[in-house]
Amino acid sequence: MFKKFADNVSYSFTNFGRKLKDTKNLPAFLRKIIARFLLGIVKYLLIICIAFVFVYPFLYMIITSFKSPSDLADPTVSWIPTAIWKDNYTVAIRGLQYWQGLKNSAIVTLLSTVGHVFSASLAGYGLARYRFKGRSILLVLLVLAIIVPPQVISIPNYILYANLRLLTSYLPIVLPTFFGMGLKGGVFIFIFRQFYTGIPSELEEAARVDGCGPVSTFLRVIVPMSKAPFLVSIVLSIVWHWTDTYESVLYIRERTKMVVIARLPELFSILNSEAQTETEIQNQLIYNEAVVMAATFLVVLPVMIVYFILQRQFTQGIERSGIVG
Amino acid sequence: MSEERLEHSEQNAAPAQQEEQIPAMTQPVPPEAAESTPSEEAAPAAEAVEQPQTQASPASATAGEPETAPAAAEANADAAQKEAPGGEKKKSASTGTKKTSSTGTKKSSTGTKKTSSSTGTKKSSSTTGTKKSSGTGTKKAGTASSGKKSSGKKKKGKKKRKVTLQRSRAEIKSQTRKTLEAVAFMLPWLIGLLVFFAYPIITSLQLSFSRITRIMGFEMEFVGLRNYTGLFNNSEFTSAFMNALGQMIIFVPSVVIISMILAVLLNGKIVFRGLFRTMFFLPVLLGTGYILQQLLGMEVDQAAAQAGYEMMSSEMSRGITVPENLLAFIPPQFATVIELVFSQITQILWRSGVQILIFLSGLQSISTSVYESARVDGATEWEMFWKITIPSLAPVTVLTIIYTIVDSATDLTNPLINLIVNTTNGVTGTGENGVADYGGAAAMSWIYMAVVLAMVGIVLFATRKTNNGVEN
Repeated sequence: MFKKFADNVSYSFTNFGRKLKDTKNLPAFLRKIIARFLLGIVKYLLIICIAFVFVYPFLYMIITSFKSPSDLADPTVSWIPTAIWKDNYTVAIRGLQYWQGLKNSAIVTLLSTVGHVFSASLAGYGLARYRFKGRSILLVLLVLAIIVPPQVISIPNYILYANLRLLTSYLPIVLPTFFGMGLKGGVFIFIFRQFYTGIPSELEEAARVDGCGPVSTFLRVIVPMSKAPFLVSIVLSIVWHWTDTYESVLYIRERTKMVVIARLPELFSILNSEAQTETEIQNQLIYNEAVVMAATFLVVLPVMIVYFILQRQFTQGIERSGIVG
Repeated sequence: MSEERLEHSEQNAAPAQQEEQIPAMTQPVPPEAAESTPSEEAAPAAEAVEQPQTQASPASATAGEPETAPAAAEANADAAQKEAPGGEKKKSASTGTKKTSSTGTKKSSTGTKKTSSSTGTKKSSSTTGTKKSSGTGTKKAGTASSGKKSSGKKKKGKKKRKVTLQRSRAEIKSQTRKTLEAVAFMLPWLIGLLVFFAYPIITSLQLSFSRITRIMGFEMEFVGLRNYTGLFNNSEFTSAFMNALGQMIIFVPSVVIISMILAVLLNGKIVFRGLFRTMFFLPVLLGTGYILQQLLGMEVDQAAAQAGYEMMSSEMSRGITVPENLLAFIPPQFATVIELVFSQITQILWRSGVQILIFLSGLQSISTSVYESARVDGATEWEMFWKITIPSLAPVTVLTIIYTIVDSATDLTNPLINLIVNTTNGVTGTGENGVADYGGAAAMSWIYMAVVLAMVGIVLFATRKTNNGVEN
C-alpha cells in the first residue's frame, strides 16, 4: 500500500517536470496545479469525514465495551478507556448464552445460504437463457416477490408451518430458501439473472455441440465461471440472515434454538429490569451500556470476520458480476 | 447467394464430368450406397432449382450404380460433406447447412429454427457418417432444401409440402424441449412462488376481509370491509402511516443522491481505495437497524416504554453530529434544526451501504475510453459528470430507487411496521383487549403494500424509457 503511494508521488513529480517543460503559460499552469491540488484535498477530506461517520458505530461499540464502570461514570473519559475491562464480555457471553446462540445462528445462516445460492443460480439461469411464453410474466412476479414486505406473507406462512408441525425446527427459515423464496430471496435470483444475461451464448453452444445436455452445460461450463455472483450472493445472504431480527424471532421460539441476535433484546430487558425510579433507570443505562455494547459487538463479530476475509473478492465480484447489466 | 449460383453452375457442369468418369469407375457399390442413392437423388429433386435436377436425374438414371459409387465412396470417406461429383450436391447441402447455422446464431426467428434442425442433423450425420439409413439422407435433404429455400426459388410443390411438415415437426419438438428445460431449471423457484408466495398472499388477502373467531383452529368469518374502514378510525394507524410515508419521501431521494456522489468519489484514483470501500459497506453488517437503534439509544425496551420512562439518548447520537460547543453559539432554533438535519444525515449515511455498492458496480461498466475522448475534446470534470456519468447510470439509478423504497418500507424501525407487528402479536391494536388481531394487521399490511407498489409503479412508469436492460 505504501509502495503504491510512493509510486503515485514519484509519478506526479516526473509528470510535473514534463508538463512544466511543455507549457508556455506559467501562471495559468500554476493556477491549474493549485486548483487540482485543492480539489484533491477537498475530495480526501470529504471521504475521510464520511468514512468516519460510517465507521463510528463500530469504533464506539468497541471502545465502550472495554470500559470499566468507573470509566463509564467518568465524563472526561471519552475515547480512551483507562484499562481494558474484560468483565463486560463475560457478562455478555453468559447473558446471551453466546456459544449456543452462535451455533444456532451458524446453522441457520449456512443452510439458508446454501439454499439461496442453489435455487437462485438455477432460477436465474432459466430466466436469463431460455425464451418461452410466460417469461415476462415471471419477471414481473420476480419483481413483485422482491417488493412485497415479508410482514404481509408471514402470518399465513406461520399457519402453514404450524399445520405442518415444523415450528420446532429451523425449517421455517431454511426451507423457503431452497425454493428461491426466503429472506430477500428474489434479490439473489435477480443478481444471477443479470450476470447470466451478460454471458455470450457461444459458450453454451460449444458445450452443446460437444455433447452436453442442459444439466451438464450448467454444471460444467456455467457454474465454474460464475464465481462473482456466487460470492456476492453468499456474502449478502450471510449478512442478511445473521442480522435478521424478524423471521428468526417469529419462527424460532424454543429457548435452546434461538439465534444469537434474537437474544439481544432479552439481554437488554434483563439488564434494565431491576430499576424502578427514573434516576435508577438512567444510572442503570449508563452502567449497563458497556455490557450492551459488548453484547452487540459479540453478535456482529462473526459476520465481520467473514466479511473481512471475503471482502476483496466481494467488491471485485460486485464490479464484475454486472448486477446492473 | 453467389455461392449458390456457383453451385448451380458447378452442378450444370457436374453431369458432364460424371459422364466422363463413369467408365473409369470400377468399384463395387457398397450396399448402403444403393439405399442412399434414391434418397440422395430425391434430395436434388426436392431442391429449388430445376435445371440441375433435370440434369442430375437423367445422369443418375443413365449412370446407375457406378455413378453413385464415387458419391458413396466420398460419403464414406468423410462424414462431413466434401467434394465429389455426386458430392457436389452434398457440397451445396453442406453450404446450405452451414449457412443456416451461421444465420441461426443471429436473432431472426427463421434462423433459430434452422439452427436446431441443422445442428441436430449435423450431429447425427457426423457421428454416424453415412452408415445410417435413408433417414439421415432425408434429413439432410430437408435442411438442404430449407437452405435453398431461403434463396427464394420454389418449384416442386408436392415435395415442398412434405419437407415443410418434417421441418415444423422438428421445430415443435425442439421448442417444447426448450420450454421443458427452462421449466425444469426454474422448478424450485416456481414451487416456492406457489407455496410460499401465492398461497400466503391469497390467504392474507382473505384474512384482511375477515375476522378470527377461534385462534386455535384459525377459523375465519367473512366480515367484508369492516377491517379496512376500522383502520381509518384508528389514530395510531393513520399517524404511523403518514409518518412512514413522509420519512420514505424524504429518505429515498437523499439516499440515492448521496450514494451516487459517494460512489463517484470512491471510483476515482484515491489512495487506500479498497480500504474505503470496505469501510463504506460496514454499516450493512449491522443489520436491519435494530442494532443501530440500540446504539443510538432509541427506544427498544417495550416494558420500559409502556411504563412511561423516558430513555436518555446515548452520547453517541449527539456526539457524531456537530459538537455541542459549536451549537452553543448558534441561536436555539437553528441549533435544533441543524441537529435534526445532522442526525438525519447520519441515518441516511448508515443506510446507504448497499446502494453505494450498486452504484459502484454500475460505474465500473462505463468504459474509460468515453472519458478519455471527452477529455481530449476539452470537457471539464464537472461537465463529464453531468453528461457522461449520470446518463450512463440511469438504469442503475432506477434499480437503486426501487431497492431503497423496498428497503425503507420493510425496515423494522419503521413505526408502521412496528405497529403491524405489534398488532399481530397482540401487544397493541385493534383486537379485543390484547387478543391478536390478525385481520386488522393483514388489512394494514395490504394498504401499506398497495401504497408501496403504487410508488414503485410510478417510478417504473416515469423511467420506462431507460428500462430496456432491466425488463429484458
